[in-house]
Amino acid sequence: MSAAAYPPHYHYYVQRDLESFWPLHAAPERRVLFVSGLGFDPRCVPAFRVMSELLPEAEVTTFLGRFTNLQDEHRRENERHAERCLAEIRRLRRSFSRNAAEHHEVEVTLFSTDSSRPELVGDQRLLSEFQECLEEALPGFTDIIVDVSGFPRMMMYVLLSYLWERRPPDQNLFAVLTESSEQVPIHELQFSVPRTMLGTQERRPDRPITWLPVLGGSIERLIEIHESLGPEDVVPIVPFPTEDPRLGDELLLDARKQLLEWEVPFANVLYASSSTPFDVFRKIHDFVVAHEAFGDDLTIVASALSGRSLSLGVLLAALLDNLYVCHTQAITYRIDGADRDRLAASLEHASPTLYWLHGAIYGS
Amino acid sequence: MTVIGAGLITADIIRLTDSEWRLQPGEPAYIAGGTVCNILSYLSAWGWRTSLLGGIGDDELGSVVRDDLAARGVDTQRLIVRSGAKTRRIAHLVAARGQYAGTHRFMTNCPLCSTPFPSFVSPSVEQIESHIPETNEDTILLLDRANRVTLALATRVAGAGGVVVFEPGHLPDNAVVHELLQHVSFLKFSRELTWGGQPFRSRVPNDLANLHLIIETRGEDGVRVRGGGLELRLTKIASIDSVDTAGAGDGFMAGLLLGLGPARLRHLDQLTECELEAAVRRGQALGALACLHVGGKGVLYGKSRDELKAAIEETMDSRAAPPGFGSRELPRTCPLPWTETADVICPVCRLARRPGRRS
Repeated sequence: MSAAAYPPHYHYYVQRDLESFWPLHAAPERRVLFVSGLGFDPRCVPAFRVMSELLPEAEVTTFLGRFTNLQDEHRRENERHAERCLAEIRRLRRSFSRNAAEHHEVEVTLFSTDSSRPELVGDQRLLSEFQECLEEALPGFTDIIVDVSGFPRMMMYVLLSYLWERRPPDQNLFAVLTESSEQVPIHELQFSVPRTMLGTQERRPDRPITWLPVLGGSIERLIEIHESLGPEDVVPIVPFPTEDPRLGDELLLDARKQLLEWEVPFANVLYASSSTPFDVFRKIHDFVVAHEAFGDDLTIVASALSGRSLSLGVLLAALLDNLYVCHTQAITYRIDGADRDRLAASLEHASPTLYWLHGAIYGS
Repeated sequence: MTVIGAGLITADIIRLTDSEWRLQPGEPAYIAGGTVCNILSYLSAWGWRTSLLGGIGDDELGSVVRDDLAARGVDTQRLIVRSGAKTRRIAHLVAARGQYAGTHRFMTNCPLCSTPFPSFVSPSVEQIESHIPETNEDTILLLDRANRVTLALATRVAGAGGVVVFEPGHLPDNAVVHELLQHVSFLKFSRELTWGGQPFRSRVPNDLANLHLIIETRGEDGVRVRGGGLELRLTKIASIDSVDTAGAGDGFMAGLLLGLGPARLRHLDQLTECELEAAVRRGQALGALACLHVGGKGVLYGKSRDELKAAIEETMDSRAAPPGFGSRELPRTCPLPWTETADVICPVCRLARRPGRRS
């Protein structure tokens, strides 16, 4: 089938649990790069566990981004948990092929220390270190798997967009995500200066901004980004359906005051599945196409304030439709002890989900 | 276990300057310098047995070097004292204020009288031979130069089952470097180091069977560690108000060696990632603390071992040096071997003034 005969992006897609997908995909000639991020969140471990079981003899190169946050008010506690995750990942990594494997661990400091309000600097540092470690070797991998479970959002965006831009036609690019069955509140306190990234369209004062925020998380963050962008129009995206069927309503209620203040008509609200990034991609993409068809001269900026699955979909839309993404990174995280234990326990048998982003199956 | 050091031995002449590199009033400080001397001094402070091989002159600064190292606990009995020779010296200027505060310069001529410092002819292999202590599998050899002497030492120590640690500050463009690397177990270098006009990092052979640990220091970008199939890149300690960064590298290396300890140094190929990282962090902490004092090992003069140990732990935990730990004072060492200075001698470099030159 020629490339031209393939349907538009993600008209069909592959989203499947990693454990059942990989045995069908594996082959002796595959050379795999496995990229993951480490923080205090134990969701960074299950994919490593599954990979170590699925690929013990394969030629696997690993790259682990380790995120240090010196501005975190709960740093010591969070670092203790990060160290436990690191110890487990190192143990699991030993089962990857011992002779041929190369393993890279790169620590980056997330925020600047020389300003009154921290700015995210770790994304560029991560990218430059990644390039130094692996840029030359990248074309030689048949499969690149990025576990986004432990990545701060903007780090995930920078790295995935880099891999996306440089992907050879015959290389498979996957994202993997582990989610917990437990709804554990992770309190985000204080945020960095909002940053707009990825888009390349010229931003002009006379070109109004339409903002597509996927609702979720802290209302403070929603307000910060709105103030930073000053959009003329807001098109909120509500996660629905979700595992908790009331979540969408609750998110709308939480944001109601702001949406009314910003005079956002209810007709602007879009809905996208919380568990399928390709759905939110489709919603954003269709919005962009519709406005292009009308000849609207807009700057469209998306923000993913909800879970990582939706963030992945927002990223795909940004990459394929040349959109901007605006985000602000939480500086301090707090998880109550009992909640942390509950989260860790829920992940013992977690099954990561694989999303096939690019490869021959899409006619790439 | 004994750590034998061989390499550059200097008398560091330390002066404070203003932001225009003009000398500030006051007497210089004179301490033994050179990477090997500094690291041995740190290790001795922690009770390690250390011994220095090399040569000095039978002049005033030779006495200073020997007395200073002996006061640090380094065995200097095996130093070769060349009659009539001038000990190698280097001027170490530290900007005490202004936009360059905390930076340093090294000079090979006197900052006061401008006299070029004389070169020192290092002992030959034959001359060193009779001074080498017994070597066995408990010997750690620490080198910062690649020449026929250090190659002979490395061959002997590696052949006896010992460990060769190489931290070059400069590399000649000849085959000695390649031969020396065959015996090295632990290699540490700065990102700026070149070999034959190219970055050294790109020329380290991949097939060195004995090389188990490589560390590259990258300034603001932290350190890069390679060993056992793992490449580990760690960020540096958060920016501190440096007084003199000259001691960063040697402090880092000393802290790392102390963190590894004798047992793990003998079995570098069996290091776990956790042990390696902990040792690197310790090195970073001591390197950061060294920057808060004047001189290549100035922190050893101003703080007791217990104070330094506590500060290292605190720095590792907080990723920043303890407030108030630093000092801008010149290190005060052993009593100097002179009380007066004749008019014909420069009071700074201790060399005869050139005719017509005054301070």
